[in-house]
Amino acid sequence: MNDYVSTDEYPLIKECLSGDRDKYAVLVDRYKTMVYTVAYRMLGDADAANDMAQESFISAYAGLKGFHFGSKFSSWLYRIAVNKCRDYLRGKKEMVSLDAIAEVSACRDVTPEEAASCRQTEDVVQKALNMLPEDYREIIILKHIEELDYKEIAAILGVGVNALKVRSHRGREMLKKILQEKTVAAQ
Amino acid sequence: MTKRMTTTLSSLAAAAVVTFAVAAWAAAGETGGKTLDEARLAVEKSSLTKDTKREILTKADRAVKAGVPSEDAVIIIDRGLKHGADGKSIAGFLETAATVKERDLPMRPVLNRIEQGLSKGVPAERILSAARGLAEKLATARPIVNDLVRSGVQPVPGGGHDDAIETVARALEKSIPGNAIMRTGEKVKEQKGSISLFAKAVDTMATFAASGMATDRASRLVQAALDKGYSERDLEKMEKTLFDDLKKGRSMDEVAEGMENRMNRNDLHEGRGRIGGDQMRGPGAGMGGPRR
Amino acid sequence: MIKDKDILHKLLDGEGSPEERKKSESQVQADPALRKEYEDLARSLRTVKEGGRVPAPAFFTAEVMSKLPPRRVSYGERVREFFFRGRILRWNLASGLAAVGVVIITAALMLRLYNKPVETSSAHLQGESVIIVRLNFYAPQAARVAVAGDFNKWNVSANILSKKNGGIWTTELPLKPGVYAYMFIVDGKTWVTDPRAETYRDDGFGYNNSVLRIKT
Repeated sequence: MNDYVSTDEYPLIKECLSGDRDKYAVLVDRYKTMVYTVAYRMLGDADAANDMAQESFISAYAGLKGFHFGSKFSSWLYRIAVNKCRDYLRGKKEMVSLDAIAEVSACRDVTPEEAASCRQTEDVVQKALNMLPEDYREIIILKHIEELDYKEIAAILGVGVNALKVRSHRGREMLKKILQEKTVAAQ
Repeated sequence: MTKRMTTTLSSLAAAAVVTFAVAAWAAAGETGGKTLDEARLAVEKSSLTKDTKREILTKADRAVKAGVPSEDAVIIIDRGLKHGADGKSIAGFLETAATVKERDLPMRPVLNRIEQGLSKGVPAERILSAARGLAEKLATARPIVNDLVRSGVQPVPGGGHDDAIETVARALEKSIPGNAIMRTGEKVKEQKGSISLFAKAVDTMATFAASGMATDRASRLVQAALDKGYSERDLEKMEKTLFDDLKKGRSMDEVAEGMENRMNRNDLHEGRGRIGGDQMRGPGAGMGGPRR
Repeated sequence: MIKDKDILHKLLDGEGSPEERKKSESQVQADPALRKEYEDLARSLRTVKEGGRVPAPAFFTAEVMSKLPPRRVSYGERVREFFFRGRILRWNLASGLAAVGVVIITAALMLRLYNKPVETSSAHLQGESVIIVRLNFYAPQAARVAVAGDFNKWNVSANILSKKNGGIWTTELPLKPGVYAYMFIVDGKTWVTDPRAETYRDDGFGYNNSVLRIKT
């Protein structure tokens, strides 16, 4: 899923830095699904995800001067998005009850026929993710939804590869258990 | 030519021109006086999908039924089609206008925003988001204004109430916190001011914030002004001073500080209760006449 | 069993050389318990992956763009750009006034030439008093100047200015008391905020409208 061509991004970013604000819309458009997915999967709430995703782009723009040419813009965005989500989760006093989780919005744009099965899968996925501790959730999202490699994730999260692997392995085990229980319960 | 002669001649010329100008102005419309039926036809003839066309026409009917002037509906459709706005957005514009009117919220600001967005070539998505955003803020603003009137701030007849709702909505758009707005309302009440003083105060806060002043500094300045008994005219002068200074090249910090100092020295204040402070500068009015 | 499970995770991580992977795979296949565990883990990850990307809500980009902070520039430049520079208001283009030859008037001159509602005459239209406002705009090299605002529903061709001597364009507007936002349009494409307005207002799209206030 990492099919982003980075070649034209540096010129785009440079233009934004020299004041052509409108060019930033190109970058937002390109990465909005990626950022929103991470936010939604992390937070399990469509409204919160929308806010955090938007704020991620706004922060990225405000801090554009700090972007290191030579690294990937997407990695930089991931980091900002993950941090925003962490801040949000830290600020929340109570856990969102699983029942209160927003209508499965990932299934917004599918045809009515697809909707039923789409809803089912996504419902289960988000509920399962919501039950994982934050740091396991992060790594599962980045490794298995965004399909990044450990090296890049390490760069994004600022954590060593070995530590990430441990988290990832434990996260998977937990995820497997949760999903198995859900499937049993659903039957 | 003396100043007085120029202005007298201008008056005569203008008087002659007035009737014509006014009539012409009243009749002109970009639509060339297109009727709603013609606009509907344009939608039918367009290359939009059948469903989208139907949606636009339905929303147009709903808007007009709610009380949106058909001239505005025509402009939205006509300009929308001309500028290549997507059908869903056009329907969205009409729906937003209809909703605002159905809820009895001030409709003019929303129409102004849509119409100018289309003329300026802003992307339709963005216009729609900005129009909807304004509609929401208007809905939030109304109870604030109603509460103030209920709690004793003098109401004004005619559009003054709607003006107040509009300025509160703009202030909210500029992230002026609700408390600051209500605090301003309290100050107006203390000064036994009217809702239009409140509207002006909130407008000034929003204008300052939009020009780059920190929102809390803007709130403090305006509230301090109210404490000192500033009138609407005085507040307008504050705004003018702000922009004059910015145009001279001063930074916002300098400008704000300057205003704070001047206010402490009562420089900006024309004096409470001074008669004639609000006169329009008419022709030949000596000191106040137009300078060329 | 811990050591064996590492093989599974290594496989799921997708790391290691092709030879290593092949070796691990056959190891897993050979052991039914390991194989089941692997299938379970792989299935749960597939489920998560199939949940897939979540599309961002409609208008996401538009909303982000409308919330971006103002560009930080030197304050001298900021003032000039803020009030004097026109922009071609189309999404992907930006242009300076130089292209249309609008000269930036000096601050001193500008401050004396307000577009205050100069009451050159008053009249009555349908029982309401109307005030004629003269607007002036200095643009010696422009070929055409129009004004669009709240008073004409932002129609870009309803109010055209006339060029007078000295490069000043002018028009007269009959207006009922109220507050009107407006902008000049130079040569049909560059929108310019009136540098002589007394006050300004953001238009909701990040641009500055000039504002006219007509009193009763």
